Amino acid sequence: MSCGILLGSCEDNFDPTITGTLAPANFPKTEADFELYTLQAYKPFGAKWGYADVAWQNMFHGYEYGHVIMFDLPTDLFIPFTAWGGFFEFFSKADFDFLKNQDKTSHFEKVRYVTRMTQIIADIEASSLEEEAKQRFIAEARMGRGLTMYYLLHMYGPLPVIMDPAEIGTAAESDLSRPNRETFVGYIEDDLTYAAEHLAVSPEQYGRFNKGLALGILMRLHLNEKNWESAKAAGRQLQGLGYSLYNDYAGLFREITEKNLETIWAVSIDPAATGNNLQGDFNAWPLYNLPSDFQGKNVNGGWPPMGVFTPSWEFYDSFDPADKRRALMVESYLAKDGTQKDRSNMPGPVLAKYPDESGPEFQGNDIPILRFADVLLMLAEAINNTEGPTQEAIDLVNEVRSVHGGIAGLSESETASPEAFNEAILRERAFDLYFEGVRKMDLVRHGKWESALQQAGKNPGPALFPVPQYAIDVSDGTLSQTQGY
Amino acid sequence: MQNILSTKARYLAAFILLFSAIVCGYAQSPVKGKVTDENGQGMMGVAVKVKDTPTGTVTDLDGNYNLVLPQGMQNPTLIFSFLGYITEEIVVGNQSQINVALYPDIESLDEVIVVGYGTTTRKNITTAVAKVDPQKVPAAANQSVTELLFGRAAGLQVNQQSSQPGGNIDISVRGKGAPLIVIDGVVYPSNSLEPDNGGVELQGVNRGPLAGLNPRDIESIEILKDASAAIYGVAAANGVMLITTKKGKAGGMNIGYDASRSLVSNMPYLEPLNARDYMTYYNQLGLDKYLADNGMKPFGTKDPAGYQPRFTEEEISAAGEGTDWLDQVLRTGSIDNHNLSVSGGTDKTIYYFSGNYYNQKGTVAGSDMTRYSGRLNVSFMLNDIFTLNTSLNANRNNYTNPQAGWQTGGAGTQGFNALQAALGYPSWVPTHDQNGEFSQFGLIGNPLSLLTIKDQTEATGLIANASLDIDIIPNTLSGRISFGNNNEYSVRDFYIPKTVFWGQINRARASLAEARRENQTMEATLTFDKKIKDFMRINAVTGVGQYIDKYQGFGVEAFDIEDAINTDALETATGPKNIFSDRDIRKYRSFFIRSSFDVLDRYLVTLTLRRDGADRFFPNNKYQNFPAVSVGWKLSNEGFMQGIDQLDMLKLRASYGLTGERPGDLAYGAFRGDNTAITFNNGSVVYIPYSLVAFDNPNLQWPITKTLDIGLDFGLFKNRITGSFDWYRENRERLLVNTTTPQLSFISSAPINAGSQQRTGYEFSLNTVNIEKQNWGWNSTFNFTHYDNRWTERYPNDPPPQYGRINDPLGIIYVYRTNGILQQDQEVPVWQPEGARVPGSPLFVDRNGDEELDYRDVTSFSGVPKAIIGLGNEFRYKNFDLNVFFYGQYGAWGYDYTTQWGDPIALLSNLQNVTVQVKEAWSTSNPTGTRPGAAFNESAVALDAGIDTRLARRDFLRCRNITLGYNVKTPFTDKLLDNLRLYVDVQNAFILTGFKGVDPEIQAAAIKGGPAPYPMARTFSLGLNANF
Repeated sequence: MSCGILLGSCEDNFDPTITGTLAPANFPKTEADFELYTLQAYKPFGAKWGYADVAWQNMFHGYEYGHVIMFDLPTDLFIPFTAWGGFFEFFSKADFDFLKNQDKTSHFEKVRYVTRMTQIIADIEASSLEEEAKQRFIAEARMGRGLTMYYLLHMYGPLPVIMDPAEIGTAAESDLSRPNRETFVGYIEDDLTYAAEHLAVSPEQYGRFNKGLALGILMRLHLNEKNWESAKAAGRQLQGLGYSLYNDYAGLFREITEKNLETIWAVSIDPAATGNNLQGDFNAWPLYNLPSDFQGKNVNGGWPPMGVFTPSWEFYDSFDPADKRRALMVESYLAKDGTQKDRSNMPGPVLAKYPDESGPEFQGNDIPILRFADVLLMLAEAINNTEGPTQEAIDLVNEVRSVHGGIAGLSESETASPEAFNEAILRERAFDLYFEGVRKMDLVRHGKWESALQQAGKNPGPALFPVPQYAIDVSDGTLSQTQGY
Repeated sequence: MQNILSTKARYLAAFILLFSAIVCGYAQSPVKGKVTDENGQGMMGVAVKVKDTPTGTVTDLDGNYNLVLPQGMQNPTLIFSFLGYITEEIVVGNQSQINVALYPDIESLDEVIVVGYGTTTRKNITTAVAKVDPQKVPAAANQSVTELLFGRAAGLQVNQQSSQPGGNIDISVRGKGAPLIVIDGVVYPSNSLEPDNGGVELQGVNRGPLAGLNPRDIESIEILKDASAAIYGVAAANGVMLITTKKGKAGGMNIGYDASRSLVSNMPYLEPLNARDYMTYYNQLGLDKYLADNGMKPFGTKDPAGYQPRFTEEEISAAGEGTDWLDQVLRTGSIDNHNLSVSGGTDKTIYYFSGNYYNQKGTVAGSDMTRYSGRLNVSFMLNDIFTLNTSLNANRNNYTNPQAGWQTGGAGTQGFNALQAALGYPSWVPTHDQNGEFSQFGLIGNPLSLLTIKDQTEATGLIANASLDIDIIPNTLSGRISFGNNNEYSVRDFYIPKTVFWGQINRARASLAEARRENQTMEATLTFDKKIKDFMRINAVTGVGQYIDKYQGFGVEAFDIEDAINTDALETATGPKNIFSDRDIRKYRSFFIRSSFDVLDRYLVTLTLRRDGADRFFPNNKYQNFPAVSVGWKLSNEGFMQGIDQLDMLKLRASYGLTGERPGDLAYGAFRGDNTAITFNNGSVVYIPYSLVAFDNPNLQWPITKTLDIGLDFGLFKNRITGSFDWYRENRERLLVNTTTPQLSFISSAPINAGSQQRTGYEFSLNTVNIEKQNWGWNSTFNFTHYDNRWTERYPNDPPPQYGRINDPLGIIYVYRTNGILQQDQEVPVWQPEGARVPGSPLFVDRNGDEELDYRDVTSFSGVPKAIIGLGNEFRYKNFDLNVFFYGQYGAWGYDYTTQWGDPIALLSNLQNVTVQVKEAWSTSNPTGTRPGAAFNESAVALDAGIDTRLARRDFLRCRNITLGYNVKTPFTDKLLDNLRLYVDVQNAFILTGFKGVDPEIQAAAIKGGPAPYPMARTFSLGLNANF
């Protein structure tokens, strides 16, 4: 009876109360909505502990599985770091086999980010925004998508991605067949080309994607694919954007001079950040790279007993002693307990590229991702590979040597042949770009991944990473493991 | 007329006869006395009968009786009986005053069993329901209701997750997880309400539910294990725990007072190296690490040279024991527990009031708990038709949160809490330096300094219930309208002073956070009960209900404040300030009906249907039906069984039904503000992007659990042996889970209905009255639980790992086996993985003999027990009683992560001390060592499954209680009190286990640096119960 009385009302007032979220029916509508919607594109490119993309993800420029750990630490410039074991040790030994067992924090999951950008681009296109706003937002989404695919290419080779919004929500989401390299590179090229066309050279907010970044990554892509002419073309465009070398190399990595005409794009660091994800990005590198017994200016010793990134003495010694770029590595210091530390008891110099000038924990120094010096060296390499060691190419390298290193130009023998000049450019890139996340690609492009690492006493496997086993298990046979694993 | 007169005359005659009998009575034998219950309380309405005669009477309000024995009886005997109590027979002899105490009949067949929206009796129940009587559980040091349940019921798995004051006790029915908790008909949350402490990694809180409830207020606890739970379909897949609180009884006022004082001492804990051993082992293991790092023999090919031991022989011999850091942080605790209850009533009103003060000083410095709680249950019989029942329970719990456990992130030693720090500080470091300041080692905060961190939680709760009973047709049709509300509020006040070095920095960090929640139950029911001749009895109940859960949280975190200001004026903080808030509302609606038929007192049938709705689904899928049927056959009442005298009851029963789970996930799409900010211009421009985190999912619906249970209840030898046996099979289907989406979907996980699991198991309970004499008695109780829970279908995008199978059990542990340690000069097996090819590495077992170590060599262990038991014995001798209770488990494995404290690399990291377990490590100085050596780093071995080096059996048998009580019977106390009982109790007296970690029950997570779980403790109590 009582049941009957209330039965009539059982459907009334029974909608869910949804709190703290926006309903798809109402969002995104306005330009401000679309701005918030599109800003997701930046999520993987910060420098924090990571971010939640439903599941936990590492950032490409962060501290765990970030660009320098993946692309610098395994190379010949740095010695193995065994104090913490785990991924630090494996990467430092260029032993990537362990990535097969990685869970869903794997960068492989960034294929979902690619689909998300595809959806966002389609949503922007379908919106009633002004054409200019559409292009601005789409350019940011495509920059994020292109840069993500560029990094994925250098981790795993071509990966399955969804570029056609019509495939979203269909069985295509379960097809993990890898596209061929040409197709995949084409996707990246298209995205970066569009981004370069529509991004501003100097956006109002420092840290937003800009035209230079799009061109620079496009140039890296072409160079690595040995599309020398296309690389040159991108470089020429960049030359016309008003960038120039900054004459104080150390200043490029200091908080007070981090904004300069050379740095094309950097992770813009928040000096007040304490590691909370709702704050800005932070710079934790001194805590990783200063040994625990090292009394820094502000940091009272770093975390590990020796720097996670400890350059090899061989690398240190390969510099011209007068090279100012070498001074960012410390060859001796007085430890906190009074012990004199030098070559006799240090496994390698201390890497102090980011000085601890802000505070006792995290620092405020921006983290450059693309600098004009890189562009000049890439351009020299592209020219050398098409026209040989022309004077222009040699001048480009020498300009970097003199402005940054304060040292003389290359010797005659170093520019005597395209091969010799190629070698010199590779060396120069190490001197200028160490700890900036490009060394692995450089070695691979020059065909020296194996030989250089062996020479450094490492026992390298393939340069590419294996995809995680869980992805193969779920792919129903469509996903192939990276060659060599 | 004639007739009437003669009738009157007969009455008169009878009267005269009776009168003369009384007048002459003193020549015969009048007997009087008082009947009291187990608490010494006078019992009203006890039947007092002279054996083999019709003569008898009942006791009055205070339990007194008067009786005249029939003339000329040889050796008369009095029988005292009361429903639910053991009947007493006493030979009168030449006594004229006979006082009797009656004791409850624990497993009486007439025992009332609460089954949700009604009751039944043990003999008539057709489903698997376990009952725990809190009166039978020693009460001294119990702070929560869940503590009453260890080992007390078949099918119930109870595990102590943390032994901190208010520590979490995990309750699981048949291994299904936390059951639905219903207190006096009101749904109650199954977890504690704990605001967090901002972004700081110090997080030692692990407390359980029901913290506001005084265990002394509990009348009974019933656990619905099978399809009987279907009447609570909405959330009953994990079973239901029904808690009934005490009510008053009509009769005189009863005042009860219980008090106990306990001393709490820690069980053996992890043992850090003393100063001498630290230095010795650092030097020994350091040598191996040096040799290995430099590629020297026996780890490499070069000849050993150049090792400089860190400590000199002089330093070592002068070191001694050093500082006992654990002693600085661990202490002896205490518990004071006081309860006062007043109950009673008239024919118009019955009442029960109680107040509780519980104060526990924890065994880790700076961890305490104080509870003040009160309960008032009152019923008003307004008239013949209406009865109003009201109930209030209010509590305030003040906690000082322990610095034990482990940091929540991967910060390692810099994030250590005080107990971790005490394990991590080397013994050769003094507590204070030469300047009198706290000493400082590595990145760890000084343990004594960490104890000055403030971390307090204040929790208040109010449960308010009101119900109106309507007697529509007496004894046939009645109705009830009820409203229940649980309201809780908690505040966490956290502050790290500037003077404390923590997280590598001296910085003031404050957090104030609060959380509140409300759980509403509104129900209306109708109950029909009718006996149709002797043929059949029908009992039916039907009703509707609405349930609303609300939650709201808010918090502020701030940095850089003056220590004196603390959390009192957060606006003065000059550093970053972070704010958060959240809110959640869920609504459910139900319609239910249950009909029970008892035919010829032999055949029992119960039909149940519950229709539940949840707001979280799309309109077409909001509602789901949960039907159930159960049948019972009382074999012992059949004619063909009548000849068997020893058999009092034999009942076969079976039940089958559906239950559901409250959905956690919403079926509606949503854009959520990211919890990662996007910032530009060096953090001065902050955006919170919005992303789609959930798709609309109109097809999402209720998960279904189908349970089949077959059981047998029996009573033998005048019910001196009673028990039950149950076998069950349960299929959980179309699980509602938030699981992996297709690999290229842009949302990585989403709620779907997928996968299925099957649970099978059996359990039995046995209660025996071994000896029952006037002066002494011995009762035993035993229960046994076994279950197995495995996959039958996996989620579509979560296949088992390569080494797993589709239908593996849940909670399985996959590992590579190892067998011993690789010795110097031993040939390295070809399958040893990279990173484990140096002496001191564990020797891996190539199980399939293919000379390769891969997923085919992985083996598995059960993470859940194969058997769970409870065993109790109760002895009574004159005024003494002794209660000994055990519980335990067998067949479960788990990783013992406290072994992290014994790793040589932890010692050699120079960041922390280690425990004496490091002495078992292999080294060139200790080639017979059984644990991996200094050159082996587990995290540098890339394997797809774990290694068994930390795997341990979690078997144990724990003596939960030994209680010795004495009922004081002296003329003096008898005059003053109805009853007085004194007792001593040892809780957790001892444990039999091979487990070497802190405790096989206590959780300890794998965490960088090593976990320091709150130590397990032994509690000695002295207490008294008094009734006035």
